[in-house]
Amino acid sequence: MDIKRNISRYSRLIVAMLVAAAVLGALGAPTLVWICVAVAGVVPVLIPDRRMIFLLIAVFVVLPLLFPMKLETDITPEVQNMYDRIEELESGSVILMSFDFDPATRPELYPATLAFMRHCVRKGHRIVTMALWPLGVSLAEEAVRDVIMDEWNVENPDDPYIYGRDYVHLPYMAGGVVVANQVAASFEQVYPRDLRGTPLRDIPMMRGITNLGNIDFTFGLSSGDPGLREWIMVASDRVGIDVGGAATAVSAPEFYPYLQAGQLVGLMGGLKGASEYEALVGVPDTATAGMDAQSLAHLAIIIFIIVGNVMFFMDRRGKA
Amino acid sequence: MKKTVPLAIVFVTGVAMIVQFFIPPWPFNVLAETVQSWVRIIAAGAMALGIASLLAVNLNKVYRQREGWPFSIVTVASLIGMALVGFVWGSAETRLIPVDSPAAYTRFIEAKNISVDDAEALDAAIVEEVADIRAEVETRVDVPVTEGALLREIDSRFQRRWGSSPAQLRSAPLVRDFVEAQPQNLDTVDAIPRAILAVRASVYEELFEAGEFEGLTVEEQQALVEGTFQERFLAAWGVSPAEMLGASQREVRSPFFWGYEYLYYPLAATMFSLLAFFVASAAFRAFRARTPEATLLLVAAFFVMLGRVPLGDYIGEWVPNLAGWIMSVPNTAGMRAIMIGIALGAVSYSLRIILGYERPYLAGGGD
Repeated sequence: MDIKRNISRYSRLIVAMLVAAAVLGALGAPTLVWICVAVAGVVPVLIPDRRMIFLLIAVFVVLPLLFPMKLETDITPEVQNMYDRIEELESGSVILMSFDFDPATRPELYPATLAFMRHCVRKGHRIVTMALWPLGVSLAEEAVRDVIMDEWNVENPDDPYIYGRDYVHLPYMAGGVVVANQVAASFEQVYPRDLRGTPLRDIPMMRGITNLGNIDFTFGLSSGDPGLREWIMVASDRVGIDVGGAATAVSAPEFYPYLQAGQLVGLMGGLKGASEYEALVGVPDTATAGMDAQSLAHLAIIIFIIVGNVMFFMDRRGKA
Repeated sequence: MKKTVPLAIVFVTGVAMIVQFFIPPWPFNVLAETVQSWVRIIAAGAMALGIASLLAVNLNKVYRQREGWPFSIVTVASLIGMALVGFVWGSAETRLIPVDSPAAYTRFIEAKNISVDDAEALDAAIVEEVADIRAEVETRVDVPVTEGALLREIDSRFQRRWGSSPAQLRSAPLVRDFVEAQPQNLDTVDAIPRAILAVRASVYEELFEAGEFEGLTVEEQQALVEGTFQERFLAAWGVSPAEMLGASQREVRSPFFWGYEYLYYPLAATMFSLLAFFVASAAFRAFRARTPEATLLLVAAFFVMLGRVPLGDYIGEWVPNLAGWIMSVPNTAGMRAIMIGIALGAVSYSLRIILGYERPYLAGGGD
């Protein structure tokens, strides 16, 4: 009886997988058909165990990282707008980068950080980093080390970025939206000293930057609360300066109303947004490399959804 | 009284914050700034409270040996361990340690059969050594991608091998001469920063005794001392005090950073990455077209997932366009409705708190 039930189950699974392969193939991607067929052949044998689903996802993520497919990505308007706004700013403009995330979301948001900072440095903009999350400060230091010290200063020894003249690190301050609100009035009131303990008034770059009104563009890297929403409320709505940001793919849909209302100039949603910005800056990096893995992982999940639903309808028909 | 005072504080503070939004001039702007500074202080205090709570809950669990108590030991040990490391070595990413570059210099020239103070032969040997390390680094799979990171790795390996960086090795004779020229006996290399400061102090004393500070402001006095000190140091040693300091110290990653980079970061990223596996499993088991609404959600998810990755572009231009339309029209409409709903709810709840109908801040709800 058990054997019969299992055979019946496997046969339904095979049919379901072939239907999934056919649907995806019919969408106009003949090159992907072989993937669907291959999965159709493998999945039914493995699927009865949840751990096998995990294994398949791992395979779909790891294989493209080892053997890149180099899929090219289109640029969405929200990313293009932000890039254009940074391009339009005069060299020497002041960009505030708020690192409102922590290592948990680093793989998704750090590529966006690097791409954006790289663009700012190439344009000669000055950068102020701050963090509404405690561990954001370390990520800011890391980004400066990767983009400014290891890249720009090595490639341009005659025109290096110098701390205090071209960029400044501000430390973490507890308080979330209240911190953003107070820097709208005065940086020095919230940050008497920078991350290195130097009084803010002794830093040449900060002499002309007393509050948020002296900032030309605010860029929020957000993986939750407090984050980009707070910068929209304060920097965009209250002070009236341009705000852009990067958010995890899960939270990106929340920001579309702000994009449509013009409160947000641009948005990099997840790794895809970062890969688009990398393409615009002309330096393909980890986000671009991760697109292959993300594409196949999405494909795997779509296949699982199709298979699950085909099985569901077959079961329902069987019971009826 | 126990209820009236908190209720009055909440009412007055709440109303004052509403008023300052509509009437920003003095005294309401000062009031708003003061209250917001209090909020920052309370937020920082809440962190201390959180740490105390974490300790209390986990220590209690260990004491009573409740289910999963060994994990509580790990939590408490990690908390105390990282805090101790931070207090002892500092929480900055790097810290400076002294370098005995004259000793490293002696070791290097003996190993390479170079005569003392033969700068040309020393330079050639260093170049050869750096090339050797570069070849070794470049064969590794995890070779740093940028030239700057590569140079840092080479520098770090050179330091591990010889006790100082190539630049420090080149300036080691200078450091040796500086140490020998000091009137006091410099027992340890970390005395060099103190010796440099002593030179500065002697310049200050000399200018003070000569009456050079008369009529100058504090800032002007400091500028005079700094300028004279830099000038004299450069004339005496051929390098600036900062360069001399750099030749006797090196930057190393702090133990706190190691804990962050090699323990916390991989653990946190792993936890977040597990989402992909759970989403896949949930998609297979639960994402079913049981009702028309669920079918709509399923179809939308199908196209958004396909359209938000490059794979969608390969299928056809219409796929990312459709995904973009779903995101900017139905999604935005839904999100906007949710946001307006939340905002109206927050306003009405805040009003209830200000007027005293809701009292979550009183123990037991104030009843």
